[in-house]
Amino acid sequence: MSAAIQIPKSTAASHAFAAAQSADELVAATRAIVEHELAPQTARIDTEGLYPKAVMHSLGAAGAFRAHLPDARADGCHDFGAAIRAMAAVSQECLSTGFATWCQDTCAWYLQVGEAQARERWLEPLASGRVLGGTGMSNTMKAFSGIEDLRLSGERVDGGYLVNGSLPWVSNLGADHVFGSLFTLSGDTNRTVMALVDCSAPGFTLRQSAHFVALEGTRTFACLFDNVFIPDANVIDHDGAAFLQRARAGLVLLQFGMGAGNIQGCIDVCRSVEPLLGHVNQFLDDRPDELQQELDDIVDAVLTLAETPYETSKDFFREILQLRLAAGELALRASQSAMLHTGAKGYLSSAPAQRKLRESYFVAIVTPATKHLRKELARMEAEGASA
Amino acid sequence: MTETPYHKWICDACGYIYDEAKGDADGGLPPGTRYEDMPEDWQCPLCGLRKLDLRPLPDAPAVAASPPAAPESTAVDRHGGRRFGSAEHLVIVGAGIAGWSVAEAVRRRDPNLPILLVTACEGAVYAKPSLSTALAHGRAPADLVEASAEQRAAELGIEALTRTRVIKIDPAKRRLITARGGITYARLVLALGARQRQLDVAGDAAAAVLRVNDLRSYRDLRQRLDGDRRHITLLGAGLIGCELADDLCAAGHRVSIVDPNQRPLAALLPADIAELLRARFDAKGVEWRLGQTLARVDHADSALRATLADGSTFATDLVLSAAGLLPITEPAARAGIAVGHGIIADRRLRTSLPDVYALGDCAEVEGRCFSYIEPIRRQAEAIAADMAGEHVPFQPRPPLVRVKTPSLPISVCNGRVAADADPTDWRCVSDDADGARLEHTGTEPAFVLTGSYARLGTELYRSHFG
Repeated sequence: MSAAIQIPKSTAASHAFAAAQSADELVAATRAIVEHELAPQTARIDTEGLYPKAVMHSLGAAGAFRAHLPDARADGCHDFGAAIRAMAAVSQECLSTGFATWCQDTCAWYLQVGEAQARERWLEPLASGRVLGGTGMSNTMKAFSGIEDLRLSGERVDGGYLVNGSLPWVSNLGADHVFGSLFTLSGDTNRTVMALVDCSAPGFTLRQSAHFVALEGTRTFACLFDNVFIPDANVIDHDGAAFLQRARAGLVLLQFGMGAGNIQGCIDVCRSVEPLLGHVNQFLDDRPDELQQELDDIVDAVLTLAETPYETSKDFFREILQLRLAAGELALRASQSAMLHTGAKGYLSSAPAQRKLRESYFVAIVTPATKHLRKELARMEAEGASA
Repeated sequence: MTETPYHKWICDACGYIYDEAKGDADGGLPPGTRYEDMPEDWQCPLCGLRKLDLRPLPDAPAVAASPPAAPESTAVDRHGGRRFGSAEHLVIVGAGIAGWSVAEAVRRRDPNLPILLVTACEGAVYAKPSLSTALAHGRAPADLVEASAEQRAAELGIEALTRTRVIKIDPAKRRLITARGGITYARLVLALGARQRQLDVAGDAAAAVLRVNDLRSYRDLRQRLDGDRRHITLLGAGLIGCELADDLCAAGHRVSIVDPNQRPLAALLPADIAELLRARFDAKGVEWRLGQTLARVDHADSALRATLADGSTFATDLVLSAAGLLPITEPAARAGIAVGHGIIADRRLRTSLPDVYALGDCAEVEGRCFSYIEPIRRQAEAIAADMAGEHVPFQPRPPLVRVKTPSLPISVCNGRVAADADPTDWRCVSDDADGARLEHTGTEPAFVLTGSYARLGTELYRSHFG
C-alpha cells in the first residue's frame, strides 16, 4: 500500500530563494505576506473559521517552514531563531495562522530528527509547504508527564503497523494533509513508535465537532483510527521514547513563535491608543514598556537556547519549560492589558484586542499548558532538590 | 423491584460527562438511555470521540493527597512579573568559593549595598577541596555543606537566586537574561568557575565517564560507589586525580590511574618527589597506566571494559575523569568581554567592560588563572576594595599548593618552576624519615615540602611573600 497523497513538484525558484536567505530576509518576506495576504482575512479566519490555505502555501514558498531544518537548507545548518521569528510575525497578526505555522514547522521537525527513510520522502514537501501537516502529540506529551494514557496503539503487521484509537483535536489537517503522532505497540506497552499519519489512509476519519472561542481557522479535528495501516516508509522513528527525547526541545522552542507574536500584538494594541489615551492609561499596571521588557527578556533567552535545539539535558529542557510558562503567563497579562488600555474600543466585536484576549488563552492552555508546566517543573525542582 | 441506578460516564479526552439519567438530546438519546444502549457511532458533542472513549466517572476528584507547593513562587513581584536586581544592585554570578567570597568581602565594607547572587547550581556553601578527602574522613556529601544558599544569603543580608543559569549577558542594558526572568545590575561580578576538560573517549559507555568538579557531581560519584568495594579508573594523575585516588584507596576501593605523562603531578613536582609519591601509591595497590590515554570504554557484563590507546584492556566499575580545568568564558565572550584562556582581568579584577569584574577559576590575570583558594580570597578582597574606591590591587604570586595525599602530604610553591627545575637547582634543607624540605636556588621563589614538613608551607610562603 502506498500513500495516496501526491507530492507536488518543487519549484526551482523557491529553492534558490531559500538557499540565499538570511533570518532578517525571511522575517521581512513573512511580514510582506502577513500584510498583503493574511491581514485582509484575519477577521474571517477568526469569526468564520476560514482556513488560510493559500497563505500557508505562500509562507512555505517564502521559506517560513524551512529555516530550522538542516536537511531542507542548502547550507545544512539550522536556524530555529529565524523559524521562531517568522512564526511570531504571523502570530502577531493572527494566532490561527501562527498555530498552523507551528503545526507545519513541528511536523517537519519530527521528520528532521527521525529516521532517514521517512525524512527523505516527506521533509522537503513539508518544508516547502506543498504538503501541509500537523502534530498529534498533545496526548503523547501528557502521557509522558503522567497526565493521561496514550490513546493510540499499533500492531506489527507485514510491512508496517495497524493502528487503532482516537485523538481529539489535532490541527492543520485535511484530507490531503499528514501529521506526526506516536502509538504504543500492542502487547508491549513499554515500546512506542513515532509515525507520520496520512489523512487519506483507509480507516482514518477526521471529525469536526464543537467550536472554540478562537483559533477556529486551524482545521482542528478529532482523528479516529480504525485499523489504519501505516507503512514502514512512514515510520518516523521505531523508538518513540528516544525520539521524544530528541524532538521535545525543538517542539517547545518553536511554540515561542506563537507566544511572542501574540504578546507583541497585545503590546502594539496598547501602544496604538497611547496618543489618545496615554494621559489616563498611565494609571494602569502592565504598561507597554514593562511588558516589552519582559517579552524582550524571554525572546533573548529563547533565541539563545534556540541555537542548540539538539541539546537533550534535563537542565536545558527545564529552562525551556520555565520560559514557556513565563510566555503563557505574560500572554494573559498582555492581552488583559490590551483590553484595559483600549477600553470600549477593544470591546467591540471587530476589535483586535478582544480577539487577542481569546487567542492569548490558547498560548496558556495549548500543550504544554500552564498547569502541565507547573506540574512538570514542580517534579523537576523536587528531583533537583533531592539529587 | 429495585431499579439499577443511572451511571455517569466521562469522555477521556475532553471531560464531557454523559449522564444516563439525562441522555444526550443533541445526539438523539432520550433521558434514561443506558451506556449499553448508546449506538456505537455516537459522537462526543465536544470533541467528536467515540462511545468507547467514555469511561465510568470516578466518585472522587483527582487530586494528589498533598499537593506540592507551587514552584517559582518566590520569583514574582507584585505584578506577577519576573524582575530581579535593580540599577543599584551588585550582581554576582556563581556560588563557588569565588562568588561567596566577593559577597562577604563587599558586605564587610558596605552593609547596605543591595547584592544578588545568581547561580545555576543549588548554591550550597562548601569547601571544594574537601571533595578530595571526604571518603577517608567518613564524611557524606551532605556533611560537607556548611550552609545552604538561603542560610548564607540571610546571614550576609543578600538575595540568592539558585538553579538559575545566566543564559546571556546584555552589557548595553546592564541586564542578565535567565529562564526565570531578567536581572538588572549596576555592577557585575563573574565568578563562573571552570569545567572539567572532557576527554575524547569512544565506546558505548563513554557517556558514563564521571567528571567530578562540584558537589552535585560528587554526590553522583558517591551514589555510584554505593558502599561496595569497586574498581575505579582515574583519568589524569594531576592534583585532583592523585587526591581522589588516595581517598578512594583509603576507603577500600581499587584504583587504576591513566595519564599520558610518565609520572604523577608532572606539571607540579620535581621528578624525584613525584617518584616518591608514586612509590607510596604502589604500596597501596594503585595500578599505574602511565604514558597512556583511554581510547574507549564499553559496557561489559555488569561492569565496564576500558581500552587504552595501546590496545590493552581491563575491567573496571567506574571511570572518573580528572583531566584538568577549563575556565568557563562563553557568556562573557558572547557579551563582547575580552577573553584569552580565561576572562581577561587586570589587577583590580576589572574586565574589558566597565563595572564588570571577573575572578577565580574563570578569570585570567596577567596571563594566568589563579584557581586555588588563597588567591581567590585575595581577588575577592581586591574587587571589594576597588568598588569602595580603595587602591588595593591583587598581587599575582606563584601559588602555594597543598597536595592532600595522606600517603605523602606535599606542599609545593611555584609548581611551574618546581616541575621543570634541574636537580642541581635545589637546596636540600632537610631530608630525613619525616620528609623533605627542598628550596629552589633560582631567582623565582619555589619550594617543595613533603611528609611532616608539608605543614610548614604557609609559614615558609609568608616568609617569601609577606
